[in-house]
Amino acid sequence: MLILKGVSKYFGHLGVIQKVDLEVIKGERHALIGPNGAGKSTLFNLITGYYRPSGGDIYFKNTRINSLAPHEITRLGIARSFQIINIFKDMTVYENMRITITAKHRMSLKFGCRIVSLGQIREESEFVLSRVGLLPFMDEPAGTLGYSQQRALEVGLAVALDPELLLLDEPGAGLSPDETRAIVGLVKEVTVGKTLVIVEHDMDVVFDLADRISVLNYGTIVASGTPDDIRRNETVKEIYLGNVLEKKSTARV
Amino acid sequence: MKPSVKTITLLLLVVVLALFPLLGNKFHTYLFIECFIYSVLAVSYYMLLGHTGLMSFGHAALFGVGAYASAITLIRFSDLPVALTVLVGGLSGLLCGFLIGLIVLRLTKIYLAFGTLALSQMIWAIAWKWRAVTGGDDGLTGWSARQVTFPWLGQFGLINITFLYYFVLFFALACVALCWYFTRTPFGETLSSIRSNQNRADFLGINVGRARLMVFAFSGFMAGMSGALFILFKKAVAPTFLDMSTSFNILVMSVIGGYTNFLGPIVGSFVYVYMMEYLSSFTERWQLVMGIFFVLLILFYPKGIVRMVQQFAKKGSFIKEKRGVRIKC
Repeated sequence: MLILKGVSKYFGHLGVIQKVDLEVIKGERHALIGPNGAGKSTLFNLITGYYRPSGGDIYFKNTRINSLAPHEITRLGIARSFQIINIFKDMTVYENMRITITAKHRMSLKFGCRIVSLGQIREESEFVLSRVGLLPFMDEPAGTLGYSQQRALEVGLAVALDPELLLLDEPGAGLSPDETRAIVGLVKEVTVGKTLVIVEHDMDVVFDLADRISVLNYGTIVASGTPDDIRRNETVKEIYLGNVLEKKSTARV
Repeated sequence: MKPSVKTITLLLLVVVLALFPLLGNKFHTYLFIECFIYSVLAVSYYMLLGHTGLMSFGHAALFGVGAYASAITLIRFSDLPVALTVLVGGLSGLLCGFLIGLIVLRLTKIYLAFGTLALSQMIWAIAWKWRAVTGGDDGLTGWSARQVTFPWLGQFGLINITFLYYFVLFFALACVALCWYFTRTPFGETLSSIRSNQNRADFLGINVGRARLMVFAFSGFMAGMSGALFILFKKAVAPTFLDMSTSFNILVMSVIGGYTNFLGPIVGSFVYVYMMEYLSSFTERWQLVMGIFFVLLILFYPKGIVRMVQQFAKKGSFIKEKRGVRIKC
Protein backbone atom coordinates (compact mmCIF):
# COMPACT_ATOMS: atom_id res chain seq x y z
CA MET A 1 0.00 0.00 0.00
CA LEU A 2 2.73 2.40 0.99
CA ILE A 3 6.16 1.79 -0.49
CA LEU A 4 9.31 3.77 0.19
CA LYS A 5 12.21 3.14 -2.21
CA GLY A 6 15.62 4.45 -1.24
CA VAL A 7 14.19 7.53 0.38
CA SER A 8 16.72 10.01 1.75
CA LYS A 9 16.44 13.39 3.41
CA TYR A 10 19.37 15.69 3.92
CA PHE A 11 19.34 18.91 5.89
CA GLY A 12 22.53 20.43 4.53
CA HIS A 13 25.08 17.65 4.94
CA LEU A 14 23.19 15.94 7.71
CA GLY A 15 21.54 12.80 6.40
CA VAL A 16 18.55 12.43 8.67
CA ILE A 17 17.03 9.70 6.53
CA GLN A 18 19.37 7.62 4.40
CA LYS A 19 18.15 5.24 1.71
CA VAL A 20 15.16 3.93 3.60
CA ASP A 21 13.23 1.06 2.03
CA LEU A 22 9.94 0.31 3.68
CA GLU A 23 6.75 -1.38 2.68
CA VAL A 24 3.49 -1.11 4.56
CA ILE A 25 1.04 -3.81 3.59
CA LYS A 26 -2.66 -3.14 3.37
CA GLY A 27 -4.48 -4.02 6.54
CA GLU A 28 -1.46 -4.32 8.83
CA ARG A 29 -0.55 -2.42 11.97
CA HIS A 30 3.01 -1.39 11.49
CA ALA A 31 5.06 0.06 14.33
CA LEU A 32 8.06 2.27 13.77
CA ILE A 33 10.48 2.32 16.65
CA GLY A 34 13.92 3.69 17.26
CA PRO A 35 15.84 5.87 19.68
CA ASN A 36 15.34 9.62 19.87
CA GLY A 37 16.55 11.40 16.77
CA ALA A 38 16.47 8.27 14.65
CA GLY A 39 14.31 10.04 12.09
CA LYS A 40 10.88 8.64 12.81
CA SER A 41 9.05 11.95 12.73
CA THR A 42 11.07 13.06 9.70
CA LEU A 43 9.93 9.92 7.92
CA PHE A 44 6.33 10.84 8.71
CA ASN A 45 6.95 14.34 7.43
CA LEU A 46 8.32 12.91 4.20
CA ILE A 47 5.39 10.57 3.69
CA THR A 48 2.81 13.26 4.33
CA GLY A 49 4.49 15.83 2.10
CA TYR A 50 5.66 18.28 4.76
CA TYR A 51 9.21 17.68 3.48
CA ARG A 52 10.23 16.59 0.04
CA PRO A 53 12.65 13.71 -0.11
CA SER A 54 16.20 14.57 -1.25
CA GLY A 55 16.31 11.22 -3.04
CA GLY A 56 14.22 8.12 -3.63
CA ASP A 57 10.53 7.63 -4.26
CA ILE A 58 7.40 7.23 -2.18
CA TYR A 59 4.41 5.37 -3.61
CA PHE A 60 0.93 5.19 -2.16
CA LYS A 61 -1.55 2.92 -3.88
CA ASN A 62 0.84 2.86 -6.87
CA THR A 63 0.86 6.66 -7.15
CA ARG A 64 4.13 8.50 -6.72
CA ILE A 65 3.50 11.08 -4.02
CA ASN A 66 6.95 12.67 -3.69
CA SER A 67 6.06 16.03 -5.03
CA LEU A 68 2.49 16.37 -3.78
CA ALA A 69 1.43 18.96 -1.22
CA PRO A 70 0.25 17.82 2.23
CA HIS A 71 -3.41 18.46 1.47
CA GLU A 72 -3.22 16.44 -1.74
CA ILE A 73 -1.63 13.51 0.04
CA THR A 74 -4.24 13.72 2.77
CA ARG A 75 -6.97 13.59 0.14
CA LEU A 76 -5.45 10.43 -1.33
CA GLY A 77 -6.17 8.79 1.99
CA ILE A 78 -3.26 9.31 4.38
CA ALA A 79 -4.02 11.07 7.65
CA ARG A 80 -1.60 11.72 10.46
CA SER A 81 -1.47 12.87 14.02
CA PHE A 82 1.38 14.84 15.48
CA GLN A 83 3.85 14.18 18.25
CA ILE A 84 3.48 17.73 19.51
CA ILE A 85 -0.16 18.65 19.91
CA ASN A 86 -1.31 20.42 16.78
CA ILE A 87 -4.98 21.33 17.09
CA PHE A 88 -7.05 24.49 16.57
CA LYS A 89 -6.50 25.78 20.08
CA ASP A 90 -8.61 28.92 19.97
CA MET A 91 -11.62 27.14 18.54
CA THR A 92 -14.00 24.91 20.44
CA VAL A 93 -13.61 21.14 20.52
CA TYR A 94 -16.74 20.81 18.44
CA GLU A 95 -15.48 23.28 15.84
CA ASN A 96 -12.22 21.36 15.66
CA MET A 97 -14.09 18.22 14.81
CA ARG A 98 -16.55 19.95 12.51
CA ILE A 99 -13.73 21.43 10.41
CA THR A 100 -12.20 17.98 10.11
CA ILE A 101 -15.44 16.28 9.11
CA THR A 102 -16.16 19.07 6.61
CA ALA A 103 -12.71 18.51 5.14
CA LYS A 104 -13.31 14.78 4.99
CA HIS A 105 -16.41 15.38 2.88
CA ARG A 106 -14.46 17.85 0.67
CA MET A 107 -16.86 20.59 1.66
CA SER A 108 -14.31 22.96 3.16
CA LEU A 109 -14.67 25.56 0.44
CA LYS A 110 -18.45 25.39 0.08
CA PHE A 111 -20.39 28.53 0.85
CA GLY A 112 -23.83 27.64 -0.41
CA CYS A 113 -25.32 27.00 3.00
CA ARG A 114 -24.73 27.68 6.64
CA ILE A 115 -22.60 25.11 8.40
CA VAL A 116 -25.11 24.59 11.21
CA SER A 117 -27.67 23.47 8.67
CA LEU A 118 -25.61 20.44 7.72
CA GLY A 119 -27.10 17.65 9.83
CA GLN A 120 -24.80 14.94 8.62
CA ILE A 121 -21.69 16.91 9.50
CA ARG A 122 -23.06 17.51 12.99
CA GLU A 123 -23.95 13.88 13.55
CA GLU A 124 -20.59 12.60 12.40
CA SER A 125 -18.73 15.19 14.48
CA GLU A 126 -20.65 14.25 17.58
CA PHE A 127 -20.13 10.59 16.86
CA VAL A 128 -16.33 10.88 16.64
CA LEU A 129 -16.25 13.14 19.68
CA SER A 130 -18.20 10.62 21.69
CA ARG A 131 -15.79 7.90 20.61
CA VAL A 132 -12.78 9.82 21.85
CA GLY A 133 -14.66 10.76 24.99
CA LEU A 134 -14.75 14.49 24.36
CA LEU A 135 -18.47 15.01 23.97
CA PRO A 136 -18.83 16.61 27.44
CA PHE A 137 -16.19 19.19 26.50
CA MET A 138 -17.72 20.02 23.14
CA ASP A 139 -18.08 23.77 23.73
CA GLU A 140 -14.77 24.33 25.50
CA PRO A 141 -11.99 26.06 23.58
CA ALA A 142 -9.61 23.24 22.67
CA GLY A 143 -6.64 25.06 24.17
CA THR A 144 -8.20 25.06 27.64
CA LEU A 145 -8.59 21.29 27.81
CA GLY A 146 -6.32 19.18 29.94
CA TYR A 147 -3.30 17.67 28.26
CA SER A 148 -4.67 14.17 27.93
CA GLN A 149 -7.89 15.48 26.41
CA GLN A 150 -5.97 17.57 23.92
CA ARG A 151 -4.06 14.40 23.09
CA ALA A 152 -7.34 12.57 22.52
CA LEU A 153 -8.49 15.36 20.22
CA GLU A 154 -5.17 15.29 18.36
CA VAL A 155 -5.61 11.61 17.60
CA GLY A 156 -9.34 12.08 17.12
CA LEU A 157 -8.84 14.59 14.29
CA ALA A 158 -6.67 12.14 12.37
CA VAL A 159 -9.08 9.28 13.01
CA ALA A 160 -12.07 11.40 12.01
CA LEU A 161 -10.77 11.69 8.46
CA ASP A 162 -11.36 7.94 8.22
CA PRO A 163 -8.22 7.43 6.13
CA GLU A 164 -7.06 4.27 4.42
CA LEU A 165 -3.65 4.76 5.96
CA LEU A 166 -3.38 6.27 9.42
CA LEU A 167 -0.04 7.57 10.68
CA LEU A 168 0.13 8.16 14.40
CA ASP A 169 3.18 9.91 15.75
CA GLU A 170 3.45 8.93 19.42
CA PRO A 171 -0.24 9.10 20.29
CA GLY A 172 0.68 8.42 23.90
CA ALA A 173 3.39 11.06 24.23
CA GLY A 174 3.36 12.61 27.68
CA LEU A 175 0.49 10.50 28.93
CA SER A 176 0.33 8.29 31.99
CA PRO A 177 0.30 4.52 31.32
CA ASP A 178 -3.44 4.38 31.95
CA GLU A 179 -4.17 7.21 29.55
CA THR A 180 -1.88 5.67 26.95
CA ARG A 181 -3.76 2.40 27.27
CA ALA A 182 -7.05 4.19 26.72
CA ILE A 183 -5.77 5.86 23.56
CA VAL A 184 -4.22 2.66 22.27
CA GLY A 185 -7.49 0.86 22.93
CA LEU A 186 -9.22 3.46 20.83
CA VAL A 187 -6.62 3.16 18.09
CA LYS A 188 -7.09 -0.61 18.05
CA GLU A 189 -10.83 -0.20 17.76
CA VAL A 190 -10.87 2.33 14.96
CA THR A 191 -8.14 0.76 12.85
CA VAL A 192 -9.86 -2.56 12.36
CA GLY A 193 -9.66 -3.20 8.63
CA LYS A 194 -7.50 -0.12 8.16
CA THR A 195 -3.77 0.27 7.76
CA LEU A 196 -1.81 1.84 10.57
CA VAL A 197 1.73 3.07 11.02
CA ILE A 198 2.48 4.04 14.57
CA VAL A 199 5.52 5.55 16.27
CA GLU A 200 5.58 4.69 19.93
CA HIS A 201 8.13 4.47 22.69
CA ASP A 202 6.19 2.26 25.05
CA MET A 203 7.37 -1.24 24.14
CA ASP A 204 4.40 -2.95 25.78
CA VAL A 205 2.13 -1.00 23.49
CA VAL A 206 4.24 -1.69 20.42
CA PHE A 207 4.49 -5.43 20.92
CA ASP A 208 0.85 -5.67 21.85
CA LEU A 209 -0.44 -3.66 18.92
CA ALA A 210 1.84 -4.25 15.98
CA ASP A 211 1.69 -6.94 13.33
CA ARG A 212 5.08 -5.85 12.06
CA ILE A 213 7.79 -3.63 13.44
CA SER A 214 10.51 -1.63 11.71
CA VAL A 215 13.45 -0.31 13.67
CA LEU A 216 15.00 2.95 12.63
CA ASN A 217 18.45 4.02 13.78
CA TYR A 218 20.46 6.99 12.52
CA GLY A 219 18.15 7.36 9.56
CA THR A 220 18.30 3.79 8.30
CA ILE A 221 16.05 0.78 8.81
CA VAL A 222 18.12 -1.75 10.72
CA ALA A 223 15.46 -4.40 11.06
CA SER A 224 11.95 -5.10 9.92
CA GLY A 225 9.72 -8.03 10.79
CA THR A 226 7.21 -9.55 13.15
CA PRO A 227 7.42 -8.70 16.85
CA ASP A 228 9.09 -12.04 17.50
CA ASP A 229 11.68 -11.44 14.81
CA ILE A 230 12.47 -8.09 16.30
CA ARG A 231 12.71 -9.46 19.79
CA ARG A 232 15.26 -12.00 18.61
CA ASN A 233 17.23 -9.67 16.39
CA GLU A 234 20.72 -9.17 17.80
CA THR A 235 21.35 -5.74 16.27
CA VAL A 236 18.09 -4.42 17.60
CA LYS A 237 18.79 -5.73 21.07
CA GLU A 238 22.13 -4.03 21.01
CA ILE A 239 21.04 -0.59 19.89
CA TYR A 240 17.63 -0.25 21.35
CA LEU A 241 15.85 -2.96 23.18
CA GLY A 242 18.73 -4.32 25.17
CA ASN A 243 18.02 -2.34 28.28
CA VAL A 244 14.31 -2.79 28.17
CA LEU A 245 14.40 -6.54 27.77
CA GLU A 246 17.02 -6.95 30.47
CA LYS A 247 15.00 -4.88 32.85
CA LYS A 248 11.95 -6.91 32.09
CA SER A 249 13.63 -10.22 32.72
CA THR A 250 15.08 -9.03 36.02
CA ALA A 251 11.74 -7.66 37.04
CA ARG A 252 10.13 -10.97 36.40
CA VAL A 253 12.69 -12.76 38.57
CA MET B 1 -39.31 30.04 16.25
CA LYS B 2 -38.95 32.49 19.09
CA PRO B 3 -37.01 35.57 18.05
CA SER B 4 -33.88 36.00 20.13
CA VAL B 5 -32.68 39.16 21.80
CA LYS B 6 -30.07 39.47 19.09
CA THR B 7 -32.58 39.43 16.26
CA ILE B 8 -34.75 42.02 17.97
CA THR B 9 -31.77 44.31 18.60
CA LEU B 10 -30.73 43.92 15.01
CA LEU B 11 -34.19 44.73 13.67
CA LEU B 12 -34.46 47.74 15.96
CA LEU B 13 -31.09 48.94 14.76
CA VAL B 14 -32.13 48.65 11.13
CA VAL B 15 -35.35 50.56 11.85
CA VAL B 16 -33.44 53.30 13.64
CA LEU B 17 -30.98 53.56 10.77
CA ALA B 18 -33.82 53.66 8.26
CA LEU B 19 -35.60 56.46 10.13
CA PHE B 20 -32.46 58.40 10.93
CA PRO B 21 -32.42 60.85 7.96
CA LEU B 22 -36.04 61.77 8.68
CA LEU B 23 -34.81 63.56 11.78
CA GLY B 24 -33.55 66.11 9.32
CA ASN B 25 -30.05 66.47 10.67
CA LYS B 26 -28.02 66.85 7.47
CA PHE B 27 -24.69 66.88 9.28
CA HIS B 28 -25.14 63.51 10.95
CA THR B 29 -26.80 62.02 7.91
CA TYR B 30 -23.72 62.98 5.98
CA LEU B 31 -21.39 61.47 8.57
CA PHE B 32 -23.43 58.29 8.77
CA ILE B 33 -23.03 57.73 5.03
CA GLU B 34 -19.30 57.90 5.51
CA CYS B 35 -19.56 55.52 8.47
CA PHE B 36 -21.51 52.98 6.42
CA ILE B 37 -18.98 53.01 3.62
CA TYR B 38 -16.08 52.63 6.00
CA SER B 39 -17.96 49.85 7.78
CA VAL B 40 -18.12 47.83 4.58
CA LEU B 41 -14.45 48.49 3.99
CA ALA B 42 -13.48 47.55 7.54
CA VAL B 43 -15.61 44.41 7.44
CA SER B 44 -13.99 43.40 4.15
CA TYR B 45 -10.67 43.82 5.93
CA TYR B 46 -11.98 41.80 8.87
CA MET B 47 -12.56 38.87 6.50
CA LEU B 48 -8.82 38.85 5.84
CA LEU B 49 -7.29 39.86 9.14
CA GLY B 50 -9.74 38.96 11.86
CA HIS B 51 -11.29 35.92 10.32
CA THR B 52 -8.54 34.31 8.26
CA GLY B 53 -5.56 35.83 10.06
CA LEU B 54 -4.04 37.32 6.93
CA MET B 55 -2.41 40.65 7.69
CA SER B 56 -2.56 42.93 4.67
CA PHE B 57 -1.05 46.40 4.55
CA GLY B 58 -2.37 47.07 1.09
CA HIS B 59 -6.10 46.91 1.51
CA ALA B 60 -6.54 50.43 0.11
CA ALA B 61 -5.53 49.07 -3.29
CA LEU B 62 -8.73 47.02 -3.46
CA PHE B 63 -10.77 49.98 -2.25
CA GLY B 64 -9.10 52.32 -4.72
CA VAL B 65 -9.36 49.99 -7.68
CA GLY B 66 -13.08 49.67 -7.04
CA ALA B 67 -13.34 53.45 -6.78
CA TYR B 68 -11.43 54.11 -10.01
CA ALA B 69 -13.17 51.38 -11.97
CA SER B 70 -16.62 52.62 -11.04
CA ALA B 71 -15.60 56.25 -11.59
CA ILE B 72 -14.39 55.45 -15.10
CA THR B 73 -17.59 53.53 -15.78
CA LEU B 74 -19.66 56.44 -14.53
CA ILE B 75 -17.86 58.85 -16.84
CA ARG B 76 -17.66 56.67 -19.96
CA PHE B 77 -21.13 55.12 -19.79
CA SER B 78 -23.51 57.86 -18.81
CA ASP B 79 -26.59 55.70 -19.45
CA LEU B 80 -25.61 52.85 -17.19
CA PRO B 81 -27.67 52.56 -13.99
CA VAL B 82 -25.65 53.75 -11.01
CA ALA B 83 -26.28 50.55 -9.07
CA LEU B 84 -24.48 48.68 -11.83
CA THR B 85 -21.42 50.89 -11.56
CA VAL B 86 -21.25 49.94 -7.90
CA LEU B 87 -21.17 46.31 -8.95
CA VAL B 88 -18.48 47.12 -11.51
CA GLY B 89 -16.47 48.51 -8.62
CA GLY B 90 -17.04 45.33 -6.66
CA LEU B 91 -16.08 43.06 -9.52
CA SER B 92 -12.90 44.95 -10.31
CA GLY B 93 -12.02 44.75 -6.62
CA LEU B 94 -12.63 41.03 -6.82
CA LEU B 95 -10.30 40.68 -9.79
CA CYS B 96 -7.66 42.81 -8.11
CA GLY B 97 -7.98 40.84 -4.86
CA PHE B 98 -7.63 37.61 -6.78
CA LEU B 99 -4.46 38.77 -8.54
CA ILE B 100 -2.90 40.12 -5.35
CA GLY B 101 -3.87 36.94 -3.55
CA LEU B 102 -2.25 34.89 -6.29
CA ILE B 103 1.03 36.75 -6.06
CA VAL B 104 1.27 36.59 -2.27
CA LEU B 105 -0.15 33.05 -2.11
CA ARG B 106 2.67 31.54 -0.11
CA LEU B 107 3.52 34.50 2.08
CA THR B 108 2.46 34.72 5.71
CA LYS B 109 2.85 37.12 8.64
CA ILE B 110 5.08 40.13 8.09
CA TYR B 111 6.10 38.96 4.61
CA LEU B 112 2.47 38.94 3.58
CA ALA B 113 1.95 42.40 5.07
CA PHE B 114 4.87 43.84 3.12
CA GLY B 115 4.09 41.92 -0.04
CA THR B 116 0.61 43.41 -0.12
CA LEU B 117 2.03 46.84 0.76
CA ALA B 118 4.43 46.68 -2.18
CA LEU B 119 1.70 45.62 -4.60
CA SER B 120 -0.69 48.31 -3.41
CA GLN B 121 2.01 50.92 -3.85
CA MET B 122 2.49 49.73 -7.41
CA ILE B 123 -1.21 50.18 -8.06
CA TRP B 124 -1.02 53.60 -6.46
CA ALA B 125 1.84 54.49 -8.83
CA ILE B 126 -0.24 53.40 -11.81
CA ALA B 127 -3.11 55.61 -10.69
CA TRP B 128 -0.65 58.45 -10.27
CA LYS B 129 1.15 58.10 -13.61
CA TRP B 130 -1.44 56.88 -16.07
CA ARG B 131 -2.97 60.27 -16.68
CA ALA B 132 -4.95 59.29 -19.76
CA VAL B 133 -7.13 56.91 -17.82
CA THR B 134 -6.91 57.91 -14.17
CA GLY B 135 -6.39 61.63 -14.51
CA GLY B 136 -3.14 61.42 -12.55
CA ASP B 137 -3.00 63.56 -9.43
CA ASP B 138 -6.01 65.58 -10.59
CA GLY B 139 -8.12 62.48 -10.20
CA LEU B 140 -11.51 62.14 -11.84
CA THR B 141 -14.76 63.98 -11.34
CA GLY B 142 -17.91 64.68 -13.29
CA TRP B 143 -20.78 62.58 -12.01
CA SER B 144 -22.16 64.84 -9.29
CA ALA B 145 -25.14 65.76 -11.45
CA ARG B 146 -25.92 62.12 -12.10
CA GLN B 147 -29.54 61.06 -11.65
CA VAL B 148 -30.62 57.69 -10.40
CA THR B 149 -33.93 56.41 -11.69
CA PHE B 150 -36.02 53.99 -9.73
CA PRO B 151 -39.12 52.40 -11.13
CA TRP B 152 -42.20 53.56 -9.15
CA LEU B 153 -40.15 55.87 -6.96
CA GLY B 154 -38.95 58.39 -9.49
CA GLN B 155 -35.65 60.11 -10.08
CA PHE B 156 -33.12 61.19 -7.49
CA GLY B 157 -29.88 63.12 -7.82
CA LEU B 158 -26.70 61.88 -6.18
CA ILE B 159 -26.56 65.35 -4.71
CA ASN B 160 -29.66 64.55 -2.67
CA ILE B 161 -28.16 63.53 0.64
CA THR B 162 -31.23 61.73 1.96
CA PHE B 163 -31.47 59.63 -1.17
CA LEU B 164 -27.76 58.84 -1.07
CA TYR B 165 -28.15 57.81 2.55
CA TYR B 166 -30.68 55.12 1.66
CA PHE B 167 -28.76 54.08 -1.41
CA VAL B 168 -25.57 53.55 0.59
CA LEU B 169 -27.41 52.02 3.53
CA PHE B 170 -28.96 49.42 1.27
CA PHE B 171 -25.62 48.36 -0.21
CA ALA B 172 -23.85 48.51 3.14
CA LEU B 173 -26.43 46.31 4.83
CA ALA B 174 -26.32 43.85 1.95
CA CYS B 175 -22.53 43.69 2.01
CA VAL B 176 -22.25 43.31 5.77
CA ALA B 177 -24.99 40.69 5.80
CA LEU B 178 -23.23 38.78 3.05
CA CYS B 179 -19.94 38.87 4.98
CA TRP B 180 -21.70 37.69 8.11
CA TYR B 181 -23.31 34.87 6.18
CA PHE B 182 -19.94 33.91 4.74
CA THR B 183 -18.39 33.53 8.16
CA ARG B 184 -21.14 31.03 9.01
CA THR B 185 -20.67 28.76 6.02
CA PRO B 186 -18.34 25.75 5.90
CA PHE B 187 -15.97 27.96 3.93
CA GLY B 188 -16.09 30.55 6.71
CA GLU B 189 -15.16 27.99 9.31
CA THR B 190 -12.33 26.74 7.12
CA LEU B 191 -10.99 30.29 7.02
CA SER B 192 -11.04 30.40 10.83
CA SER B 193 -9.14 27.15 10.93
CA ILE B 194 -6.46 28.69 8.72
CA ARG B 195 -6.13 31.56 11.17
CA SER B 196 -6.01 29.18 14.09
CA ASN B 197 -3.53 26.66 12.70
CA GLN B 198 -2.70 26.65 9.01
CA ASN B 199 -0.39 23.69 9.34
CA ARG B 200 -3.04 21.41 10.74
CA ALA B 201 -5.59 22.62 8.20
CA ASP B 202 -3.15 21.50 5.51
CA PHE B 203 -2.93 18.03 7.01
CA LEU B 204 -6.71 17.72 7.14
CA GLY B 205 -6.71 17.90 3.36
CA ILE B 206 -7.87 21.50 3.15
CA ASN B 207 -6.58 23.35 0.11
CA VAL B 208 -5.30 26.33 2.05
CA GLY B 209 -3.99 28.10 -1.04
CA ARG B 210 -7.34 28.01 -2.78
CA ALA B 211 -9.16 29.11 0.36
CA ARG B 212 -6.80 32.06 0.67
CA LEU B 213 -7.33 33.04 -2.96
CA MET B 214 -11.07 32.88 -2.49
CA VAL B 215 -11.05 35.05 0.60
CA PHE B 216 -8.76 37.58 -1.07
CA ALA B 217 -11.16 37.78 -4.00
CA PHE B 218 -14.19 38.01 -1.72
CA SER B 219 -12.60 40.67 0.43
CA GLY B 220 -11.61 42.49 -2.75
CA PHE B 221 -15.20 42.43 -3.93
CA MET B 222 -16.44 44.00 -0.70
CA ALA B 223 -13.65 46.58 -0.65
CA GLY B 224 -14.35 47.41 -4.29
CA MET B 225 -18.04 47.91 -3.48
CA SER B 226 -17.15 50.30 -0.69
CA GLY B 227 -14.79 52.16 -3.01
CA ALA B 228 -17.56 52.55 -5.58
CA LEU B 229 -19.95 53.83 -2.92
CA PHE B 230 -17.31 56.20 -1.63
CA ILE B 231 -16.94 58.01 -4.96
CA LEU B 232 -20.71 58.42 -5.22
CA PHE B 233 -20.46 60.12 -1.87
CA LYS B 234 -17.30 62.18 -2.44
CA LYS B 235 -18.09 62.89 -6.14
CA ALA B 236 -14.40 62.56 -6.99
CA VAL B 237 -11.61 60.04 -6.99
CA ALA B 238 -7.90 60.71 -6.44
CA PRO B 239 -4.74 58.64 -5.95
CA THR B 240 -4.89 59.25 -2.19
CA PHE B 241 -7.75 56.73 -2.11
CA LEU B 242 -5.32 53.90 -2.62
CA ASP B 243 -2.18 55.06 -0.90
CA MET B 244 -0.56 53.68 2.21
CA SER B 245 -2.22 55.99 4.69
CA THR B 246 -5.66 54.77 3.61
CA SER B 247 -4.51 51.19 4.23
CA PHE B 248 -3.36 52.13 7.69
CA ASN B 249 -6.58 54.00 8.41
CA ILE B 250 -8.45 50.77 7.72
CA LEU B 251 -6.13 48.98 10.10
CA VAL B 252 -6.66 51.66 12.76
CA MET B 253 -10.45 51.40 12.43
CA SER B 254 -10.28 47.63 12.79
CA VAL B 255 -8.07 47.78 15.85
CA ILE B 256 -10.11 50.50 17.55
CA GLY B 257 -13.30 48.48 17.33
CA GLY B 258 -11.50 45.19 17.77
CA TYR B 259 -10.39 43.07 14.87
CA THR B 260 -11.10 39.76 16.57
CA ASN B 261 -14.87 39.98 16.31
CA PHE B 262 -17.25 40.81 13.52
CA LEU B 263 -18.83 43.81 15.18
CA GLY B 264 -15.49 45.44 15.96
CA PRO B 265 -14.66 46.89 12.53
CA ILE B 266 -18.16 48.38 12.24
CA VAL B 267 -18.00 50.06 15.62
CA GLY B 268 -14.42 51.05 14.85
CA SER B 269 -15.36 52.83 11.65
CA PHE B 270 -18.11 54.80 13.41
CA VAL B 271 -15.76 55.83 16.20
CA TYR B 272 -13.06 56.70 13.69
CA VAL B 273 -15.27 58.87 11.49
CA TYR B 274 -16.79 60.74 14.41
CA MET B 275 -13.47 61.26 16.15
CA MET B 276 -11.93 62.51 12.94
CA GLU B 277 -14.80 64.93 12.39
CA TYR B 278 -14.95 66.34 15.91
CA LEU B 279 -11.23 66.41 16.63
CA SER B 280 -10.45 68.16 13.37
CA SER B 281 -12.98 70.85 14.20
CA PHE B 282 -11.10 71.54 17.43
CA THR B 283 -7.55 71.35 16.24
CA GLU B 284 -5.44 70.98 13.15
CA ARG B 285 -3.34 68.42 15.00
CA TRP B 286 -6.22 66.02 15.36
CA GLN B 287 -4.10 63.09 14.26
CA LEU B 288 -1.93 63.58 17.32
CA VAL B 289 -4.93 63.24 19.63
CA MET B 290 -6.19 60.28 17.66
CA GLY B 291 -2.75 58.68 17.92
CA ILE B 292 -2.70 59.06 21.70
CA PHE B 293 -6.15 57.54 21.93
CA PHE B 294 -5.01 54.67 19.74
CA VAL B 295 -1.93 53.98 21.85
CA LEU B 296 -3.93 54.05 25.09
CA LEU B 297 -6.49 51.70 23.64
CA ILE B 298 -3.83 49.24 22.51
CA LEU B 299 -2.15 49.37 25.92
CA PHE B 300 -5.28 48.77 27.96
CA TYR B 301 -7.76 47.12 25.62
CA PRO B 302 -5.81 45.56 22.78
CA LYS B 303 -8.91 43.70 21.68
CA GLY B 304 -10.77 46.91 21.02
CA ILE B 305 -13.87 48.73 22.14
CA VAL B 306 -16.36 45.94 21.52
CA ARG B 307 -14.48 43.51 23.76
CA MET B 308 -14.13 46.26 26.35
CA VAL B 309 -17.89 46.77 26.46
CA GLN B 310 -18.56 43.04 26.52
CA GLN B 311 -16.19 42.70 29.43
CA PHE B 312 -17.92 45.52 31.20
CA ALA B 313 -21.32 43.97 30.65
CA LYS B 314 -20.06 40.70 32.04
CA LYS B 315 -18.15 41.84 35.09
CA GLY B 316 -19.66 45.22 35.77
CA SER B 317 -16.29 46.90 35.75
CA PHE B 318 -13.66 48.05 33.31
CA ILE B 319 -10.88 46.17 35.08
CA LYS B 320 -8.33 44.96 32.62
CA GLU B 321 -8.46 41.37 31.59
CA LYS B 322 -5.77 39.41 33.45
CA ARG B 323 -3.00 38.04 31.35
CA GLY B 324 -3.24 34.35 30.65
CA VAL B 325 -6.89 34.17 31.56
CA ARG B 326 -9.01 33.15 28.64
CA ILE B 327 -12.34 34.83 28.14
CA LYS B 328 -14.93 32.55 26.67
CA CYS B 329 -17.06 34.12 24.03
